[in-house]
Amino acid sequence: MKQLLTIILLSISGLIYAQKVTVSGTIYDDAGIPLIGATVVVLDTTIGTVSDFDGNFSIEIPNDSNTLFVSYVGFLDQKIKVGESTTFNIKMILDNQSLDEVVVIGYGSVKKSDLTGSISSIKGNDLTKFGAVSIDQALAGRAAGVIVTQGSGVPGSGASIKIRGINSMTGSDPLYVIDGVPLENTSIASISGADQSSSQITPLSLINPSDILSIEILKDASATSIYGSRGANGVVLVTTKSGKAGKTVVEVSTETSIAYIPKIIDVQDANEWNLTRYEAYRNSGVDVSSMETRVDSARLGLHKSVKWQDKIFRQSRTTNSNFSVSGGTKDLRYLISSNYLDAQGIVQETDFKRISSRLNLDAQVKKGFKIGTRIVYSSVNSNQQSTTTNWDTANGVNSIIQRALKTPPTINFEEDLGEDGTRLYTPLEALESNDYDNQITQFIGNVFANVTLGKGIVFRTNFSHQNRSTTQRFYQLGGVLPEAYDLSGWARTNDSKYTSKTFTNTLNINKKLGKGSINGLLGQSLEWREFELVGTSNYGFPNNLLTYFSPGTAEFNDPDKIINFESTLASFFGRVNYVYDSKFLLTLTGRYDGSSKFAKKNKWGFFPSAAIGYVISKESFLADSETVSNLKLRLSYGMVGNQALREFQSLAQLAAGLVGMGTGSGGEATTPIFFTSQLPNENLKWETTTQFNAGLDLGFLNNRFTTTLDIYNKRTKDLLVVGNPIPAQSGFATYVENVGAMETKGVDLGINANIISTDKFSWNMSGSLSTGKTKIVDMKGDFVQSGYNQGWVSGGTQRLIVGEEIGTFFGYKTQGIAQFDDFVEFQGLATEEQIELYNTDLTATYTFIDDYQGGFPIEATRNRPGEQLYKDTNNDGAIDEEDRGIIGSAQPDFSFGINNNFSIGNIDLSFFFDGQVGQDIVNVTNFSLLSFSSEQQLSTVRSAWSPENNSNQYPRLDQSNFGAPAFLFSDRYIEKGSFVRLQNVTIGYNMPNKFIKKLQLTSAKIYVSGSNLFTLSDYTGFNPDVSLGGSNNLALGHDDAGYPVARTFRLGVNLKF
Amino acid sequence: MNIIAKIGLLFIIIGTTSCESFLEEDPNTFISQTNFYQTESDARTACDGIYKLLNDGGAVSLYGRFWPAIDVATDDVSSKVGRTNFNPWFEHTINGEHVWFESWNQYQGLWSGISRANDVIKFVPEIAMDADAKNAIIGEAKALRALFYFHLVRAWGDMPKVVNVGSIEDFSKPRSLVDEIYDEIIIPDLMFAENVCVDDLHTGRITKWTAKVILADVYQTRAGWRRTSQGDFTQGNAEYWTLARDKAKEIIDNSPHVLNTTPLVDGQNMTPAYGVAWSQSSPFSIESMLELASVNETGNGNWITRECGPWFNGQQFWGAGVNKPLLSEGINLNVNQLKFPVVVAVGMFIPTPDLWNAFEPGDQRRDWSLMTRYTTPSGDNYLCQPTFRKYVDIDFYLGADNTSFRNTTNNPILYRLADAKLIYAESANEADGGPSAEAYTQINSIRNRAGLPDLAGLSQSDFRTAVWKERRLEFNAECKRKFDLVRTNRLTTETASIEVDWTTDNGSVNNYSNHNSLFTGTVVWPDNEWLMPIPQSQIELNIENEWVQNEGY
Repeated sequence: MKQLLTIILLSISGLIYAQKVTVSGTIYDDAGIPLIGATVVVLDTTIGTVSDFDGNFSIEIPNDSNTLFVSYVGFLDQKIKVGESTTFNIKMILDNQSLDEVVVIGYGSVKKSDLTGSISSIKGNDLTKFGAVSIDQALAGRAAGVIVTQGSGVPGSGASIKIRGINSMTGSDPLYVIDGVPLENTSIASISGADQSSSQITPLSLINPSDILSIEILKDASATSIYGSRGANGVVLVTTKSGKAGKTVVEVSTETSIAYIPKIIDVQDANEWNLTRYEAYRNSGVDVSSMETRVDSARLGLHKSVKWQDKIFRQSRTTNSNFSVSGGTKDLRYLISSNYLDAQGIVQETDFKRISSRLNLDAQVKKGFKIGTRIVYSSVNSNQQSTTTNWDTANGVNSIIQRALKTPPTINFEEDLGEDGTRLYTPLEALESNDYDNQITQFIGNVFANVTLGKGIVFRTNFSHQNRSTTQRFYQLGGVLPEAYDLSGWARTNDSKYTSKTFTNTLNINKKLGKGSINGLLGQSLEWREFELVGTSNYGFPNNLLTYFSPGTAEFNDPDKIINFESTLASFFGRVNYVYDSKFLLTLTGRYDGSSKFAKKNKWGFFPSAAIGYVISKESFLADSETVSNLKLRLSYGMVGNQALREFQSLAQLAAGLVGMGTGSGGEATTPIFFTSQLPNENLKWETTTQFNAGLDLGFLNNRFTTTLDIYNKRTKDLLVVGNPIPAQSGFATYVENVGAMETKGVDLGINANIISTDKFSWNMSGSLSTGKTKIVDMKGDFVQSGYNQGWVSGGTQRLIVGEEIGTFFGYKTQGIAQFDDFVEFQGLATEEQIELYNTDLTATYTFIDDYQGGFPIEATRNRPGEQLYKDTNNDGAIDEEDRGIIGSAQPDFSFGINNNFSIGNIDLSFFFDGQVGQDIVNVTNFSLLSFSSEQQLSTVRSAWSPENNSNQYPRLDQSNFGAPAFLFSDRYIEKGSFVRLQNVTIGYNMPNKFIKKLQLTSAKIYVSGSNLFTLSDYTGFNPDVSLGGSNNLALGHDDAGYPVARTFRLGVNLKF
Repeated sequence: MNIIAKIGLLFIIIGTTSCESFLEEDPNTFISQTNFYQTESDARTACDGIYKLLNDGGAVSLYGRFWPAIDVATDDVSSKVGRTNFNPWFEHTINGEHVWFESWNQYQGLWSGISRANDVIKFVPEIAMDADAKNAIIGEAKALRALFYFHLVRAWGDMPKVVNVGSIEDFSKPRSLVDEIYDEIIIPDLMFAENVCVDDLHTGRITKWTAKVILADVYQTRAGWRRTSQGDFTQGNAEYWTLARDKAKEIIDNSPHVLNTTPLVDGQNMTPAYGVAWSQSSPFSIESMLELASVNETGNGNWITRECGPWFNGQQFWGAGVNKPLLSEGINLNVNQLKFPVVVAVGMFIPTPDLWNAFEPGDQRRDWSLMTRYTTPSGDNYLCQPTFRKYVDIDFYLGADNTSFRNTTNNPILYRLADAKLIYAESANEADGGPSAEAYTQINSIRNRAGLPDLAGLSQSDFRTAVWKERRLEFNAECKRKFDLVRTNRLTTETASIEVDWTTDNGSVNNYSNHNSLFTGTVVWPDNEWLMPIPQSQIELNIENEWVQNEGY
């Protein structure tokens, strides 16, 4: 009302002074939304006004003035020349780099100019551009120092996020804090049990990206130590939108998209497969006469093929609709939003449906007392298939994508495979028989109150509650799979609930002290977390009619399982920010955390940090510089912790079970047993990461060009190693202990350039570049295996070697293929004679020539032309474990993102590239597809060595190449993983004002967008962006035919009323 | 500032209430060690937990699934065609990276058993309970620990001495010589057990007689040959023959065990007396001295039935389907119609024709042990390829309700009275310089039961050979063949010429080979494979403990 009054009074005053010119107009933002309360002053006078609810203003200017100065917080100031025209539509340009911008930090916020820590901010509307289901997927390439690996394209699956390298063996997921409350982010384990966690549904997918106002990523110790024992992996602060006082804004958007697989793996067709198989058996010395007929027809190309990949992938459709209403008065502001997402996956019978509703309320109850709430309820319904990498082939639930690649392309299985092998099931049989249904509901209720206790003293209390329930159902139809796998119906159910409560109290004090100002924070919090899961498994049903609803009819009932975890965290924390003369900045932070997860004597840990900042541009010699508008140096040092560990790990656990035993009266029955299932560790304690950070913020030409450069050095000691292998004579395979240390050194660079900024045309470019590889600096020895070992790869694919990176691949080095001339027996023969000799006995062995210099086959029984040679590293004339060495590295040298935004009149155009360079990937699927045996192979295997085609790349086909011991983990399976990807192109059209007015809208936008459009990479698997082990840092860079990330095209409409 | 003082007070109150009890862990779903080992029942359940390692009912299990591979590629046991898991066995290129070591838990499982036994031996003495019952339980644990170590030293040679596991120091140890393991662990443990365990028939748990039969086996083994981890061949001290003889005699004379001598007739199904010990309807026969109960519940059965079946029908052995092999008995069905309703034909462990040929005419053990035909009580007939009967849960083959290959219920038997008898016969012949009357009595009791006549008038050397042969036939499929061949220094001689192809001479209608094509029967076992290689990962995990791989690998 006051504003209105002012406007009216000003208008009246304009009438009185009739000799003055009245100028009026409307002020709106770049999206066409009227700006309320923008200041309009006549330059160099005290005459001024503010815009009203509809963004309108009217002002009288004296005759001797002709310039208006328009300003609004968060937008660039504008000067408007008043000439002939007296009405103006003024579009304000968003000032992304405003130093008055407020940045959210842990338990508070700070002016960007006063920031001493290393923090990246991302706006909410940048996140929604990809149409990502979950916010973590949308962070790729958006912030310096953040590497996102979208390991799986399963709708709703989580991405692996690493902030500044790897800090821990137990996982590098950052802490997510949503509106001030730490989110429990444990992915929901798949029901099939043996999964490698790559395609589990992440709780982040329950958050609607459209609700997000901004994301802040805290990177250095100064920024993260306020989160103490959970800060070491970095912290992602998510702030949701809230209502603004003024006109009610109704926003409706809807989009629809199609997606498909960008790439098909080229495997053999039925003719190639028959030929390969024949040759593999023949070369291994097996009588192949029974296969001759089929091979003859294969030579003529007569066999029909099944393209399994085409059978399981599809073009999928997705619709996503958002509705929100926000607004309110000065004393009561609200935002109500709702989202409905119906996403199909590109694998048949996979989908993800989400409904999410949110209420954000902020009420000023009375002066000095505010109360608010953030309530969100989400529910997800998702059908899935086994698309991860469990190895439960016996039960017919092995990944159908792997199955699609590895299944012979032949239609008639039993006939073609003959009776020499138990028939595998086809991907379609797996698809038909296995049905996975997941339902997840999550409620987060968060209530807070701020009480102003005095000038600059605010007490805040916050109580929040997160409750997530998951219902997982699995039924495998009986009678579909071949006999060997058929369980006559298999029903599994898991019901779990996750509850967390957080109670936080903080006291915030702001004081001016002469030229300085001090901001103090003192806080305390308590957290409780509890998880419980009840699971059943029954099989052997009389029919499939009742599926899992009728466990009583099952012949076999596995014991029901109940899992229960509880943990608590008690914390005290504080922070002091001191700013002197806007020039010198000091931040001291500390947190004292007590966690239930550690051994009795090591529950508590203290995590302090200190940071200083020096704003050089405020010094007199730069204060008036036109060129350098900002120059700030930041230094920070501190310690943060990690407690990413399951509960109860320090205790000696006894597990219960049953064993068969005689009853003593002629019968037998089971009897209960108890046995130690975990070695105790009374020394179990925190991981501690010490980080040094030096940062430089630069701004030129009124901050049109800005860069932020950070150099850091992190060192983590007392690493928590959960699956730390220990000698078998302990009675246990693994032990949980604090072992070793690692170090990451890196550089984060962020740039932003408003290259062109006019009313009609603007071009903004931003980019980020990150380096930072993590090395082991201390470990028990150089022999700790990691990576992948599913019974195939003895010793694992990777090793933790002191001085080397985490994710170092360890194995044999190939060294070409044995050729005729390498053997004594083939010397001096003409080519035809060599071929003839070779063909006389395909399994014969020969003698290497005297001065032979090359590598050797895996065993002397393979000393013959056509065999794979391996480098004899220790020159002992044979290939054994000692010849293994480092054959690759899974960490990228650097990663980057480049974003360009153009605005041409009513049209917006943006495109976004991201990439990672220098990392290696082990293509686990190729252990089978490049085994040079009768198993289904890549098409390129047709160029394998043969007497007529002396390939030096691929060995000869041989049935005995498959499986142990012929299988060696070598660089044959290591590929370059570097990629550059056109991640997104979006073209939007803002409807012209006239049109909008007619429809009574405030803005309307139509856009088309394409994601994952183009990837430049040598990697032969589906995506170079892989993480078989999810966020498991001990299995970086592994791909085993994970769920491919789709190429997506979207069309959407955005309306505001 | 008054209000600030109040807030400060609030903080202090919250701070003091969140004392240590707030952070204490109180797990709901498992017991922690400190609350356990309080009662006799705790002692019993902990001790029973050790047995679980012998047959754990799961995908990796010793006697429940994979341990029989120890005998693959000897003259007794083959694998079927296409079964490539044991290629290195047949090619004799075994290395420590094989799945048998690394994933199938055949080495690690033994240590888990030792670890559980160590817990019982350490914690049970502190429980307030009846002294005899307590000692019996500790005795069981010690006997089981000895049994696990006995497996380890025979298969892998030198082993670390781990008798307690509470901390890293307890197991970070170098390998000790095999003799030290025998002298300091195996023999003292068994001597303790034979004195304190219950004096009763065996019903699943170790009795004093079980301890004695293991001890007799240990003595006999120590008297024989072995190859050390360093690659030397060494023969044990002859005095162990006497110890073995006397220990076996104690069992024969004083134990409540006798041989099953009555055939089991159930309708038209007849189990010869020899096979009664494996009858699923009457587990823990009077002959059994260490038997593992397999129960038809997930995780408590065994998988061995799945691994042993070589083929879905008996076509190759019995002739082509149209031949109607039982037509002479009036059964007008072809082989395919006579196949078992359910067979999971994995064929990891199948008998060789060499073993078939070793049986004398009239030996009832052959046709029962190497099953090619089965008649049900109601007179239905089924035909199959030769299959080790001791590994078959016949109910599963017959497709009975409530059966699954994941939990078949046939019980593996590790020791029987027959062990004591044949140990006696063999060791007495050595200790006494020739066969005594008692030695004849013992071997002949075994032979007579199988329907064979008495032996008589043999020289020491001929008697020795006769016992060796008797052991081979009596203990077929009982995982004793390779250890016997090593102990008697015959691993190379007996494997140089193994009959691997079935012919009309050994009962088959056809000449056919159904074995892994790499098993030629002519490759002599190399010296290094007298011992298995230490699993490669274990060598690597024990570098600091200065472990070195067995010689020759």
